[in-house]
Amino acid sequence: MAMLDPYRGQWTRREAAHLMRRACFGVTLEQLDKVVVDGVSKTVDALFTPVKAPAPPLNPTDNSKWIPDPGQVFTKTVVSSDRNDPTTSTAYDLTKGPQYYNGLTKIWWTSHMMTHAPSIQEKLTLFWSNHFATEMSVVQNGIFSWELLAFMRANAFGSFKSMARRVTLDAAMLRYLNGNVNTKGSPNENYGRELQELFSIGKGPEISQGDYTTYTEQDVRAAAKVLTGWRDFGTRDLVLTANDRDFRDNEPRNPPLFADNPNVVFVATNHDTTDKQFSVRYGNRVIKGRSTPQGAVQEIDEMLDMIFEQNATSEYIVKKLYIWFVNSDITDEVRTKVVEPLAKDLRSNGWNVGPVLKKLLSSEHFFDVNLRGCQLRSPADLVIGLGRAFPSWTLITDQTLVGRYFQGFTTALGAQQMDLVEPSSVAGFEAYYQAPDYYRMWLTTATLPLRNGFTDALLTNNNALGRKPIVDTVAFVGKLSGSEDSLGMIEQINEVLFAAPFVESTVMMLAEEILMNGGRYYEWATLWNAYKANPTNANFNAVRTPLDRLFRYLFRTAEYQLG
Amino acid sequence: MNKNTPTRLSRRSFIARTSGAVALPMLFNGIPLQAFDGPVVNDLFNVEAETDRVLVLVQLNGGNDGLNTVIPLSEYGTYQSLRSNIAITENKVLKLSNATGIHPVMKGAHELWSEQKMNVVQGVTYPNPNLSHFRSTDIWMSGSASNVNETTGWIGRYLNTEYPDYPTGYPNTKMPDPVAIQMAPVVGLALTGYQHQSMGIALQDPETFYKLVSGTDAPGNDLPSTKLAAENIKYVREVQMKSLQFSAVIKSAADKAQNKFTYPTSNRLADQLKIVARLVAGGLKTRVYVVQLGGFDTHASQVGADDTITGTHANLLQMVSEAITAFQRDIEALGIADRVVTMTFSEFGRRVASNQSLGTDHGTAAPMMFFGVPVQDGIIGTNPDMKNLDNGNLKMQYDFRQIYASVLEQWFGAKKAAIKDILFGSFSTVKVIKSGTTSVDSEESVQQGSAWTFQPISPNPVQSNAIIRYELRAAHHVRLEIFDNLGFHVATIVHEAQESGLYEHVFEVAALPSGTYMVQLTLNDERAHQAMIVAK
Repeated sequence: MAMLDPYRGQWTRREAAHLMRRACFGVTLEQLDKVVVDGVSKTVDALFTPVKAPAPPLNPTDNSKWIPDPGQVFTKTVVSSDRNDPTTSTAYDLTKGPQYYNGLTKIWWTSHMMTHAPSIQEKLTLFWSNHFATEMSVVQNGIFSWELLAFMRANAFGSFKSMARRVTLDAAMLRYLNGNVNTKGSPNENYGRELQELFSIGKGPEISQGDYTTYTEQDVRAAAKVLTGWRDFGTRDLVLTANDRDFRDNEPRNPPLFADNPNVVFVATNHDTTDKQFSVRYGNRVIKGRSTPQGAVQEIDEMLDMIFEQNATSEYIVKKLYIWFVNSDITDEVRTKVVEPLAKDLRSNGWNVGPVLKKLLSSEHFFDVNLRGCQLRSPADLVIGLGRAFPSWTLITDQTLVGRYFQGFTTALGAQQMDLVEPSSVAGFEAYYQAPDYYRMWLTTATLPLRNGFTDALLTNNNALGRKPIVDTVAFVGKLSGSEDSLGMIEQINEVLFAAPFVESTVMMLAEEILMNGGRYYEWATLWNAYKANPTNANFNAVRTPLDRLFRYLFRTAEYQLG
Repeated sequence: MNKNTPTRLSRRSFIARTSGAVALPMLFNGIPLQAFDGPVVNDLFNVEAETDRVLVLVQLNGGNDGLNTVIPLSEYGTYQSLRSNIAITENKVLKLSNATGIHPVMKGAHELWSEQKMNVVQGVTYPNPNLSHFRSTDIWMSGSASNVNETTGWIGRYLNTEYPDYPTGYPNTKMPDPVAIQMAPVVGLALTGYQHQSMGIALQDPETFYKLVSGTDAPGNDLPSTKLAAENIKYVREVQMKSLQFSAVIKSAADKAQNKFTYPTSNRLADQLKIVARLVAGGLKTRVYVVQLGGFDTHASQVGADDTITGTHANLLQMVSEAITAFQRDIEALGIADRVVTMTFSEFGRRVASNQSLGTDHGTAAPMMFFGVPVQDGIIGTNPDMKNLDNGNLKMQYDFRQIYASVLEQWFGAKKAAIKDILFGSFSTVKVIKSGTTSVDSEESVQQGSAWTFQPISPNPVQSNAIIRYELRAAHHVRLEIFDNLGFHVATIVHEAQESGLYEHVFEVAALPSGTYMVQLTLNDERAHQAMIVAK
């Protein structure tokens, strides 16, 4: 049986939960049971159906727009708050600073990740924002960062190559990797290097000085020259000065080239028009220097063609997707039987990652029992996953508390070291590249206590929910079957929420020492049946207290950290 | 404490434990000296009792521009012409000598220099330098050649040599504290030991750390049958255990000492060093602390457009200088300055020629800086040769592993053979630590028994008379003896039954040759030891 053959094995809540944890952070019990009924193929198809994102966040003070409509730019700096006219709205209040708007983006994204219907789109968007890494705090422009993220979301399962092209000419990226100061005669190599080292072909072993197998230092310099002349509109400062407007008007953007990307301009005098000589790693390719904006784009396209012609590029991105969705250990067998075939698919289907991922997530290999629990949950897996499994946001009655609720989850992500669009470096979060620890990087003596503090807090009363806990353990257990049997109940909880099964003695220990606090496991039935028969306050509390104790313990177990 | 435990440790593991500089009392507790033959004892005594020494590593992430940190005044013309848009104005440079100076914002560092507490090593890099941040950081952290993908860390390997089975059996009474602490949410590669275990723990703020750590006992032998899941669970449990084990000692150390100097605010490096000072002064036996400051990747706007001594890089250097100076003042006030050395490093320097965005691209060799009372002040190496470049980059004067070897040897007292193993080769050393800075921590040597206390020997090292004190809180049969470094009996000072009380003996060392001796106190069935260093 080939590793990429469609999975035909056992299909229970356990396998379904594995797929949904990896593909979309997690699901509710009802959603999970639908997956069990639907089966692998139908579920995976559904995961790749585009989800319409909710409207972008508004200014919380007056509900005005601060993100221009697609393809538009704000052209006035005086606040007019004409929210009906996207071209003149200037509700992006510069005095508030980018951190304010970036904060709104993060909370919006957290809430979307937590509330969207089961789909792989957001976990893939997170993947892309980690792959083509930028840091909002460096970009310092809320609109640029929003638009890059929106592009990644819209193209999450589209063409990797188109994404690389768009990112190369993205305002946020031009700022982040100094493309905006990469000019003729004074090339800044930052983007030219990372494009190859991290974003596309990947760096191989350094076999001689400056030769990284896949490319060389010469290619870094040549790429930097190809990339000269582009800058973001409104670069360097946040204030859109009169000069910026003049500048933009004098160098009109070419709408057909950048219909979705209006914040990038080309300055012909900054572009290096000489021919660019690449190394033997790219077959000594020469890219002819050109002077018009269209010519400069053509140079970039030729360079991307050159990079994408190398098999290393498709293998590099498939490896990263594999590490993100499956496992960090790429054995020879995985390389030849999973990575290379998928890379070949990617090259032949026009670089669309959707079909490739579908095949991976439906495969025998993905469901291999030996790989279950090979990941540790990322902060997003933990925080968003719990938010999705226990969607108590639906209970919020006071709309002013909605923002605060999702803000709490956003803060938890940051504290646990997965601040959205703020990776520790251009290489993205360390957990996805730092051998040999990989996912273990998430869990340290500093972050594990924070995770424990977070899950503890889910079990205490929350103000946004009208003094109810975020994780309503009694309601959750009520949806399982035969919850009066404590051992069966714990096994079901394990099946739904854990990546690895408990051994029998653990189930017994949990029932007697934790749930029943030293009593016998069968005594639970009395409490549960009394509550079901007569849900008085006293009977409710008699089951809530033990269940909260059990869940608090379960969330703190090492087992729960497996993803 | 068990009596007569020589059989508890196999000979092999015992010898393994003795490599490197290990605290003597740790090795000798409960083990009758006579049970071991000459070479083993010899090995034991040749190690130096220096476990009170602390190394603070300051990592400057992003590639610090060495040429604008340590400015080559003697080559100012060349320097100015190659980086005219970012060159530091000549007459503003703070001079270390007529030939060399430091950035004008580094006033604190300059003070430390004038107090002979600073050393600069010029031109540090490695053969075949790598210009990628990630790869070069890994090379520095792992302490390996640039063509080797080493997945353990240099300081981790050193600590692993000293604490061979770590983390098995740790913490214990002799090393109750984390061996190393990184003031960050994650532990870096530098602290990774031979078995890929982290020799350090990550710590952000002792208060939060303590509050949040409380816990659950992991169930026993209950791992799933699949290997990867089982390994991950074991890993998380180890982290859980570490969080629990160290939370109390860290909190208590942090509570015990208060900073005695006001640190600059809004300074991410100072925030970390402030905690380090408290932990060291509070009595943690932790050997290595790692602190970090990022933002040195100054491709653009490294200097201000109007004034080259302002801008991003100036702000960063000011933070470094102010943070390290405050830390130094603090540890001096706390009385621990004799046992703390601070070392800065960065993954690479920057291109000699600046770019047109008022910045610099990735380069190679750059200076490292040492701070502290024990530091051999001065400048090692010469101003970089900017006329003889390699692809626009400075050539190497010192391999970073030479500097690591120097620190391991001169500060931690590691032996050449051990250093060779740790750094995968022999590297000649340079003098970064003053000679004769042997110090034996007084606090550390206090040993407590059920009804007795063995006070630290003073002075130690001793030139003429050593004062040996102990307190008995009950009657004991007491034997106080001195052995030399071959395990031979030198003297018996006390051999009698004694009532409770404070005892003090003056031991004259005039007749003894210089070296390390062991003072052994036997009280009924219990035993305690201290190293006494005779230095004449």
